[in-house]
Amino acid sequence: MSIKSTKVEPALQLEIEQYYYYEAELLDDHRYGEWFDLFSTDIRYWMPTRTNRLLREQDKELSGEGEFALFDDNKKTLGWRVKQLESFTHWAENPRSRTRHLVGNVRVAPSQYAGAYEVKSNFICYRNRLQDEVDIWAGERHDLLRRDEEQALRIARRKILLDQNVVLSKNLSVFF
Amino acid sequence: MRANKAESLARMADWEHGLIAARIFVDEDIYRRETERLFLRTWNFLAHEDQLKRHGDFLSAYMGADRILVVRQSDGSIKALLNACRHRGLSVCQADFGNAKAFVCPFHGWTYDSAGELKSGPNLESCYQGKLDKAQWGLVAVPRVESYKGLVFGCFDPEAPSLLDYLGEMAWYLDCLLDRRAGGTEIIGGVHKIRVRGNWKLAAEQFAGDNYHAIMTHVSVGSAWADHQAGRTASGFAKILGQPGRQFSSRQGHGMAGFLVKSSGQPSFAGDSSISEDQGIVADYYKATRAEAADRLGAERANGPADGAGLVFPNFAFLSMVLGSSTIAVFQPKGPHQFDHWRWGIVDKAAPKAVKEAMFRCLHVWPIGVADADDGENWGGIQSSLDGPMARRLKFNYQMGMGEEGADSAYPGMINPHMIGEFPQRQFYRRWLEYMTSENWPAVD
Ligand code: FES
Ligand SMILES: [Fe+2]
Repeated sequence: MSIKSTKVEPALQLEIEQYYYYEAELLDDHRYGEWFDLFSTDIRYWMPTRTNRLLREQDKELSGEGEFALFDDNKKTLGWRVKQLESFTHWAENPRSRTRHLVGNVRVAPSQYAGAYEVKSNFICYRNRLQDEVDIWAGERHDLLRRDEEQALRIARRKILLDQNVVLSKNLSVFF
Repeated sequence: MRANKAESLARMADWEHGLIAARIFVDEDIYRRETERLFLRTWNFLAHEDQLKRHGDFLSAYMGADRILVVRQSDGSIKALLNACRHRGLSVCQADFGNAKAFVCPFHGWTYDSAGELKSGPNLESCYQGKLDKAQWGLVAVPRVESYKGLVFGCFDPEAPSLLDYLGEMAWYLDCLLDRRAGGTEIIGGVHKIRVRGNWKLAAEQFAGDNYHAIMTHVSVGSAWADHQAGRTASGFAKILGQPGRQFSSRQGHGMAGFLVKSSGQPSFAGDSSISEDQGIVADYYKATRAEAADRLGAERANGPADGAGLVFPNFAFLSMVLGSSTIAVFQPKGPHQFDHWRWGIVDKAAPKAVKEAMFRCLHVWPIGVADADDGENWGGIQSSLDGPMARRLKFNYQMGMGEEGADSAYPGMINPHMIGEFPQRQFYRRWLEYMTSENWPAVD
């Protein structure tokens, strides 16, 4: 997916941005079930690891297909994480963390599939937990957004580039 | 003074009475002492041979607090080099892994070959008036690098026994992970690295002996899977861990947290098709290869200790055949209050592609997954409550199953005849204390 500076219909840009704001609200309000419904049944929710490489090997910075990733979920395994978050015994999120997802730099491009869009966006997520624990994550998402039969947007693929080598939070019990 | 220090450490790590002081998890001086007395003497995990295939392949590792470069040599051997330039100490390589013919220090340009020898530098001859003896100024090589069935370890101490003697009876248990099938194992590409709040020993002792925590800490794993099998609830781990089992420990401080003693061929932890198709594929694979494993390792090992958590003292851990995958880990200490958890997926080389892929998909349970997040939370919680001076005076109860241990004709080493107990943890701290208080490499009789 290569995105040049493209002309986007303002209405579409607005629709997608509003969609992401809504998604962020669901996450920050801990409405995980509703968030989960935004994803298509064939979702791949993937966060490869980032490695430090010799500059001439920089193109191999991301862990590849079939390699260890921070997330590599399908609808079923993503659903497990959601169920775990909804349980009362997931200690990493009991009590709940306070999070704020900020999404910006939304870049929309047409997709090879009809009624679908390749969208890149940047995010900052702030987490405050218990008394004084703070994590800040920044990164980029590459989404394939697809319209379902009712023309509603669904996330059909999400690749997340978290800007960290060693994950500096004690867990990733949040979604991006 | 020295005797006092040893006495005070012995009071803190009172393994004989199963009383371990909170202070050993938070004290800055004790941490410093660990970096010297423990990690400079123990055999430390560096790499899996499979990660270094060609000459010049390297990866970054740690031995305790020291940065190490592990490099495949032209003759096929593996060297471990202190990743610190001999001129002013800068790391000569900042990459996690890769392939390089030379390591060039960015400060003044001293250039080392893959064996760590100083080869050149800008104006090296003229600036030193021809007086620099390059042969004396190579990277410091870890004097001892040895492998056991693919796992490469390094040791700084010339007095330490060979890796094989150091592993002792632990090798028998490690074989269940490393030698089930001809061809050994390989590493799934990539590694998880996550910084955990908590003292590294909390993770180490857990893999050595603490099956007990799974019942409560990992309750929510059961909740995550609840609707895939009616009745799979919080009690899931309690049920598995309530079965007959054993814990192993050795005088070198290694341990197996608990393994089932059973006659059926299918390890009960390996995977459950009612949870996911992938777990079913892995469970079937273990069943199908059981005869080969029994041929190679004998029936006890094909049946029993093949599945479970274990620790090679002090900080190399493995989780063999649990919930669809096997993983190996190192807990890299980063001061008394945090450590980096590095974790790799490991598979039988001979496994069919479809099985490897299923195992790969099962890895989501681990470091960033449905299981480990709650370990990290609990270790972090310990570290914050130990901020208080009263809390630091606590002595923790490590007395579970005291006196139950003994010999077992079927299993080498010292055996606690239960699936759950704290015998391996007591032995871990017994060994820890020996390293921390002895002037030389602490031999055991
Ligand atoms: S510090 Fe490496 S060349 Fe000076
Ligand atoms: Fe755990």
